[in-house]
Amino acid sequence: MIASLERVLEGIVATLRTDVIPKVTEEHARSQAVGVIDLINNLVARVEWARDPLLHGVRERREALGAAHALLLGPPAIRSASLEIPLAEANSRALLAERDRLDAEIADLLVFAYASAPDGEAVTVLRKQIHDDMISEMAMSRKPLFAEMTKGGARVRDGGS
Amino acid sequence: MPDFDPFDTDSVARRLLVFLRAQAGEQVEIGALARFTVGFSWVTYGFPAKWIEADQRVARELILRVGPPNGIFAPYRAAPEFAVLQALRASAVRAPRAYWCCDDLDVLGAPFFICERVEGEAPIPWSRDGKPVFDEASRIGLADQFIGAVAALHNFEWRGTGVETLEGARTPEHAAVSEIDVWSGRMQAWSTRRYPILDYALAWFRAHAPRAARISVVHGDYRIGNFLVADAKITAILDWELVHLGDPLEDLGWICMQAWRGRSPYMCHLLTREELSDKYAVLTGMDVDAAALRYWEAFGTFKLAAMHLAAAYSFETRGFNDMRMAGMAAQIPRMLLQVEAALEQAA
Repeated sequence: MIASLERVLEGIVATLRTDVIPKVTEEHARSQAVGVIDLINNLVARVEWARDPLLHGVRERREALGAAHALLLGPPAIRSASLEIPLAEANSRALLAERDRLDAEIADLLVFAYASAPDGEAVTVLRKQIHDDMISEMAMSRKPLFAEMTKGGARVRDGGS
Repeated sequence: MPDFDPFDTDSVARRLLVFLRAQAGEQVEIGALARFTVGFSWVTYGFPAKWIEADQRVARELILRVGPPNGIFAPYRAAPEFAVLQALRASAVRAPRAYWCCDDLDVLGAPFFICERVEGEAPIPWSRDGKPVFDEASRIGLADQFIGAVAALHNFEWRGTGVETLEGARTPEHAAVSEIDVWSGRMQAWSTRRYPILDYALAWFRAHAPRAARISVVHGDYRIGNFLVADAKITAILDWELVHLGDPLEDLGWICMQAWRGRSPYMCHLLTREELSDKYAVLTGMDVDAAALRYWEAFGTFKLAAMHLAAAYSFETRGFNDMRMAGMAAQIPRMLLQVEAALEQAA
């Protein structure tokens, strides 16, 4: 997913302004599209990525890392500082940064553990956390509309839903 | 250097005409450019053109493909794909005839090439509720042509042709490692965020790299969606931007990916894995190692995941305001799960 929600909203507005509205020939449809832009502009300062899933993800990562470290001898050193404020007080932006930092740490530790023992317990612990996180992310993802996008939005015989 | 604005078709057409008159004479005429929605990478336009060739008036429908400066695989180069399309004219592979190419950014503000417009529709891999994309008779007929074309590509003797300068591996021992290095580098360039499953996948690929049976021209994106069909015949193989030299099984693994078949039992909605291997072996004289095929399928899934990172990067960092890029970015979790599943199948 795009990390910056502001960039997603800005992109939607720019697409409507430059790519869509100039090609819409019906006046009412154009005014509705401008209404969408107006609404999005007013949302930008008020929204952020949902905090609860981020908080849950950070906690799960920390737990898995702790467990894997305990199973390994001489794991790679942690390369960057963790979040200084308590998780309970961190906003979504801080949690995103902490999630990304932890993912880098997990990646390094997993490669290290795999090189030492491909089927070892540390690999299992880390891969379980990675798998569970991907499942959580998928639960929030909708089926893509690539069929319609490829056909320019026209109804297609077997178009994606 | 002019800015390339894909929506300003009048400006693109004016500059294109200047280029074409320098290439094919002052009598060149072109019609309006029509932009197509196909393809997530190069910007594609169709246009009619007339010029004089060997004292004959020629009128053709042509395709202009432009590599946008902020596009998914930027920076683009037109010359490699152009060289391949030209070289393949001497082969049994149905590739569009390439006319001109230009990597000079002063012309359109972006690299581009021009090729013939081939008649046909491009079937796409995404279907509702797993319904078949093809009726049974079409599927069987197209499957033979589909596997025949990739076998012809892999049988093509590339040494001594314009293809010889392509990037990629030159020795069977290095075919897999060469691709791992290329795609690992691309992944790092496209994403500062680390995805642990992708790092794990790279470690696994390095530990299990197979030796290629031979080095062939590898299309790199050979699948449903990248060929045209007219009257039940494949009329052209498209989208050669990832072409390189390497292990031919890489193309076969790519064909087998989950992303191109959905719930269909047929690879690319066309043929079973066993039919693919058997027919390919007959056409190339090369047995398909089942483990190597699974390896390349997993590697292809990793490549596709990396492409999704590229889409996110082009949207978020390069300011490429194509919402399809943001849409691909939203599918990264799905791709990561597919990488995990493909690795488990290959292990």
